[in-house]
Amino acid sequence: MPDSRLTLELLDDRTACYPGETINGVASWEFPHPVRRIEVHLCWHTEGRGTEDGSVVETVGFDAPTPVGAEPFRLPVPAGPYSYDGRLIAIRWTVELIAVGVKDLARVSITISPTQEPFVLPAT
Amino acid sequence: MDRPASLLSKIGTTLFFSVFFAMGTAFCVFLGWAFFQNLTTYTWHATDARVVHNEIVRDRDGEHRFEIRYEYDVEGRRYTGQGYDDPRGRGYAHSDYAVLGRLAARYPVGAACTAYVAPSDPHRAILAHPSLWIGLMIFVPLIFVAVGAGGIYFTWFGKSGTVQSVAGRVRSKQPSVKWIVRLMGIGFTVAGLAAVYFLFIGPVMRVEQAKSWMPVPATVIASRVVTHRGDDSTTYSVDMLYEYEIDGRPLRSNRYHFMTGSTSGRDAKQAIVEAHPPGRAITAYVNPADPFDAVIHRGYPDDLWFGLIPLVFCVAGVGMLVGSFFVGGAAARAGGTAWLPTSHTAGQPDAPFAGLPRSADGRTTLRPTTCPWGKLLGVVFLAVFWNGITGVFVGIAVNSHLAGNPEWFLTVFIIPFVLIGVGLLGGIVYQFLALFNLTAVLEVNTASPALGETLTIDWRLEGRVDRIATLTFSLVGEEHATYRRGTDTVTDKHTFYDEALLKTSDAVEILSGGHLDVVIPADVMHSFEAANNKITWTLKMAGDIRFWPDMNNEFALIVRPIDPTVLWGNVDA
Repeated sequence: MPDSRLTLELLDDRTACYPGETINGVASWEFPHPVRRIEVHLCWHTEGRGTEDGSVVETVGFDAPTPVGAEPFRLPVPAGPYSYDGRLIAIRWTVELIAVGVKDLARVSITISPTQEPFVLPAT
Repeated sequence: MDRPASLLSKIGTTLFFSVFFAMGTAFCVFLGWAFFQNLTTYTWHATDARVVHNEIVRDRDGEHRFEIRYEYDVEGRRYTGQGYDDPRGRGYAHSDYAVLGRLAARYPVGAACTAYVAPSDPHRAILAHPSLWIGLMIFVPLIFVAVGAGGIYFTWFGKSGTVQSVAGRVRSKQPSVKWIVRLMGIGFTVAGLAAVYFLFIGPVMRVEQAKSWMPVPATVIASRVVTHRGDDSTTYSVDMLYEYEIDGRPLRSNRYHFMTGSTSGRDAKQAIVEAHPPGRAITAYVNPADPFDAVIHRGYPDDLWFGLIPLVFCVAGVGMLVGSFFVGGAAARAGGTAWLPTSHTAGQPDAPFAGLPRSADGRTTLRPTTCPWGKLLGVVFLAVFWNGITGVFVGIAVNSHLAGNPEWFLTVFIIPFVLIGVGLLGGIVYQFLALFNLTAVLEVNTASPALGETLTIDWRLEGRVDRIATLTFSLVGEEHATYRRGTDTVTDKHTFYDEALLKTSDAVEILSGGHLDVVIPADVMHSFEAANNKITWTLKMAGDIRFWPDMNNEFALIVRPIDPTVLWGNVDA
């Protein structure tokens, strides 16, 4: 039985965005059998010493998709939180493509900040 | 993100949980076997029997035991049984002589009764089935078995969390330390309440009931102080047997007062025993509804207040329950600006300081993040809790020295705890003095400046301003990361920004207050708050005061990210 395949492509392969922009991309997939729903999430999560926190900020969903297909999506980028690399905490943004009932997923890491670079603490 | 544990870490964790599993299993087997033994007696055959002998004996340890012999026939052959409820044929022991007296009255010599005989061995018989309540106790070690087995399973087969999507991890409901803390809190509270009931409320209720009991003449038969040697301490109790008559029938009891158990302090018990030597005529108080129920001292026992000590466990349990609802800070909220901290006066993330007072020109007056009364109450609660528990053991140690039987291990062991307790008492004095300390008042143009914006601050001090030798004012940015280390919750802090805004020893400047324009840097991280990770910004004002607690006021700021429309006008929508 062939495996599922999910792919995320961002417009112009842009993985760095300004707050307030919109992320444009295309989600494509191949499933050996029909799935109920496909979702594209814009989410942030923390890494580092603290227990992980996370939040799904935006979701675009496609109900009853064809087993093989592709759809464009637009995700508005919020004002924050900025991508961040600190001493104890890091904040990472990702765009994820998941299908309900399927373990596989596609994920693209992105950077959101006014400089399009993560805020990094100066070395002390 | 969770990192896969190393093999050595997994082996260590497995050994740790194996101890729980092994101990729990051993107790389960022991209790299960005892329960099974008791349960099988319910299959024994009932047969007629006759009591040929009964007496209440006192063994070498001073414990009383009801011994009985009865005869019964099985298949034409006569047998003599000795067991009351013990299949092994032993007598029935109980600390309350009244229980044994009731048994003796129920089974007089010559009385007909029913014996239950083991079908496989007619020599084994009982008069009453043993209690099956021991079966319920098996649930206690089962908890240890579950913890041990569950810990070993999740150590080797638990999810790593790295494959799941962020959305999946956010949405999945995982066992939380909050529920462990809540279960422990319930356990502490229930255990504490049960102990308080049996050690305090129960005796108080008996004392009140005994106010209507009949006084009857009685004679002391035996009296002594019983020593109970524990692992860490020695306690004492009064053991007194006396006899009285009800309706011409001699009865005995060994209850001196309504306090159960034993306590420290041998001298008081020795005085009671010396006042009640064998042969002394005394007055006993008898329950009119049950002549076996008697007491000598029907008032409140001096040691009754020890029965309130388990309240400490109730307080700890309630504290754990209440605290579990605040562990982890704000719950993860979806979307928008939910990651921006909210002030405690308003719940709106987009208007974080809506509840703070504003002057006529729209400026906001900031309030300190911590209340001095809160600090004082906190240290008082901690000192009472700590010194309450430590005081019990200090009392035991002191009494042991006074009794000429010093508990040296306890004495040395308790010293660091006493030092901490003394420190906490000093902390109460310190925080009380701090109540009369100066207060800083800050008026700002906005309590939530954005990165790159200017924060204007008008500050002044209220109170005995002349006492301040040096005043410092700084803007501080900190990371806070909370995580679990074993069963503890730990929060690490790192200061990533510390700008001194003002440092002065000028008495005129300190007295009159001042104005500051502070530019929030644009190249630093804004405020952020999630359940376990925070980035905070604080204005800290500290004043050195000689021979008095220093002034320390902190004021929370919410530093917002740059408004996207400010950066590039119309943003691509």
